[in-house]
Amino acid sequence: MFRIHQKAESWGASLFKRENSPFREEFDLYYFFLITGIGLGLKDRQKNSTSQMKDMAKSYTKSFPNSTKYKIAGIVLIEKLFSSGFDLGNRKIVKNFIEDTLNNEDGNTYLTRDSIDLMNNYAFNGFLYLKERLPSPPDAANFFVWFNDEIKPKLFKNFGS
Amino acid sequence: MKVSITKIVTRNLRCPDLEILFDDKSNGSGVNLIQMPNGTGKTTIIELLEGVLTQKAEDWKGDEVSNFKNTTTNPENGEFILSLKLAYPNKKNHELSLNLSFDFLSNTVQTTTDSKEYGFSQGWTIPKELAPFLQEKCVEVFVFKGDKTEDIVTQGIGDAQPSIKAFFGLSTIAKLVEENSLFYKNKLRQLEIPTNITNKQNFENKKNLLQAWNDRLELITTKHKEIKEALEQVVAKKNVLKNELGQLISSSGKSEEETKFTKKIEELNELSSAKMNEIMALYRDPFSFSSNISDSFTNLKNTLDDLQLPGTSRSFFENYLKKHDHCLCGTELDEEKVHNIKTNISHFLTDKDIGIIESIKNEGDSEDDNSAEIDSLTKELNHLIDQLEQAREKYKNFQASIDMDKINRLTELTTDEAKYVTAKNNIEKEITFEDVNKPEKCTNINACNLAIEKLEGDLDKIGDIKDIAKAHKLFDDVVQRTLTLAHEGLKEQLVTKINEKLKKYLRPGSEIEVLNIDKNIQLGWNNQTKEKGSGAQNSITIYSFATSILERADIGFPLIVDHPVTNMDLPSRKHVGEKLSEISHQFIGFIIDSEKPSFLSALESFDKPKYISIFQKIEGNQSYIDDLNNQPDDMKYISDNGCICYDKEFFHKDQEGIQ
Repeated sequence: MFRIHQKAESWGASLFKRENSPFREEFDLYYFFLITGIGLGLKDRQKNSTSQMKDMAKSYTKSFPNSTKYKIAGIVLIEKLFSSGFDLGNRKIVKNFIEDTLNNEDGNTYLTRDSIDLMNNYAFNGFLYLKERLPSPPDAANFFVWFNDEIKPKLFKNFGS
Repeated sequence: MKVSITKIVTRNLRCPDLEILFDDKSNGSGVNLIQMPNGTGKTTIIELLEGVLTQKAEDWKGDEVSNFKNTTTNPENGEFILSLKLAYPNKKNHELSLNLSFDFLSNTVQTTTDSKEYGFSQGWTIPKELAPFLQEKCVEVFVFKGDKTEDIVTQGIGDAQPSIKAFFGLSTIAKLVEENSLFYKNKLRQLEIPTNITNKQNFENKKNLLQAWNDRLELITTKHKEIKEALEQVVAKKNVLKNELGQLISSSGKSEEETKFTKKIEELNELSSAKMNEIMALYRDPFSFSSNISDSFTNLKNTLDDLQLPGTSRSFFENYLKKHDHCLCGTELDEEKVHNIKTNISHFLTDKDIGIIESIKNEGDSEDDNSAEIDSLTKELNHLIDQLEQAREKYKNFQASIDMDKINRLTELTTDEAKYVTAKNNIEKEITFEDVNKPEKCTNINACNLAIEKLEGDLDKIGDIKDIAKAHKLFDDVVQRTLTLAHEGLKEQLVTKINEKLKKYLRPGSEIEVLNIDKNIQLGWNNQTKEKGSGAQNSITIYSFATSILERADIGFPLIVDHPVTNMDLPSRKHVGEKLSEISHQFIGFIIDSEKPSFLSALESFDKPKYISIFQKIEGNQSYIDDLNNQPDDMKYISDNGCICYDKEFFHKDQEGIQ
């Protein structure tokens, strides 16, 4: 179950405001929070974070194609694999990582519950990060510009290394 | 024309049944002296004479009729006949009898006329030349009762004028005024005009009201014009302001300029939306966030490849064992080998995991670097944002550039316009004004015009009859003036005529004349008024007055006088006696014993009067009746209850004791 910070929706209200805004659903916010969190390596689990989250969706929405789903699954796998400190030359270890991370049971997320929980944590931290820097988000256009200028350059700097 | 009484007949009345014959100058001296003892019905005869001559007898009421009944015999009917002779200068005399038939059962009286020329007829059939004089005020002139002689010369008691007016038809002319007034009122009624409409005050009131309405109309019209002009000015000012405020306000309520701005902003919004959607589409590919991700996927792929992952799937071995009994290397698969394979099969991934890993590895093969494109698109988006901000700023400036004073003025003008339109409509709307008497309350042109139309209609109606009213008034004025002039002229002529007669009839040196006839005959001498003359002077004055009127009216009536010389001294009686036959063509005097001295002797010295002694045929009068029996038939008349004697000697006898 994808879960999101309870205040995410109210924080991102301005992003949804315009009729033709690219932000159409709560999952869009979640996605940006996730990318930010995971891109910046915000893996620390906040105290009481679980209680500050709310259930959002069981699976990806239609806006997200399979390629995105695979790429996110890959990102999660890479993040777990390369940040684990284990010997990546050990086939068995890698194979276990793969089995712990990926799952095709729901035919949608390609991720295990733990992986999704990990994603939820990254998204939670990503929201806090963005909120801290942008307490009152502008409209979607200005958000994109700000995000592109302020956040995107910082993302995935040491990813996979 | 001279009118003489030739006979009076009475039957079953309060006087004895009589048939009294009279002379006039055509067959005698014209002087008829009647002596009747008190209570024999002298007053009754005079009242009957008056009743017939004035034609009032027709109007007598029941009690008046019953008063004439002989109370001794209590008859059912009675009769009074007055025979007249009308002598014309150049034509045959006309004789007629005016009859009163009393019905004492019903106490009514019926009038009939009997004449040789016209025969017998119901009611009065009187020649037209006589008719005007047979009225009360004329008859009063020649029938003297009681103290009339004194009254007519005594200030404040008698009244000579009505008689003058009656005799000369002035009363008849005066009636024309009444007739004219009646005609005028009928005319108004025909025209359905209230009689008070021509009342001057009413007319003036309507004229004033019309003026007030015209003033009101002028005021409202001026106001209307002012409002229309103000409205036109407001509309013109509004149009100028509208133009100044950015062309004309379109139906959408925005100026063209404003529309241009909003359209531009809308376009930029659409462009930015499109740009954002493009960016978002790219962002949906996680590789767009950083090229490092793609590199990491390559690294992952290499790592997995090195580890031969995902490698053969578990299902491969499971299926192989099911289908083959030899190993891939060619050796036989014994139980031990099969056991080893089954034990190590967990080192391999499931088909599903392999599928995911393969897909992830395949995604890592993607060479798309959307990050740069996102940068580029974001720059474009940022530019659009700038443009949008500029457009919004311009629009804001445009809005700020609009003169708020003008906007406010436009609002005020719009309010004024609505106000003027309402005021204009109120003045113009079709209404019926309800109160024509209150122009000051009217605020509407149509109501004003309606009121004016009504008042003008009323005044037109008045105008229609204005000529009639004028004619009516003119006629009144002419008649009144004529009457006044005629009256004054007649009085003047009568004064002259009377004075001529006075000179003739009065004793020389009498020093009395008529100065004026106003209400009474004013006596005096040398323009000095005298309160009244002596008894003889008064009598001769009033006889002269009567005869002067009659002469002036060209008619002669008998003078009928009760007590002709009763208030005169002997010399005066003598003088009156000497002149009496000259005064009138017929004189009928009711005298008493006390008037005889000096008067009869003087009268006989100049004329032979007709003596008429009347008394009752009663036992107490037997000696007189015996005397009467000795008289020739033409000198007497005897009925069941009355006697008449025409003998001079009989007349001269002392009548004391006769009844």
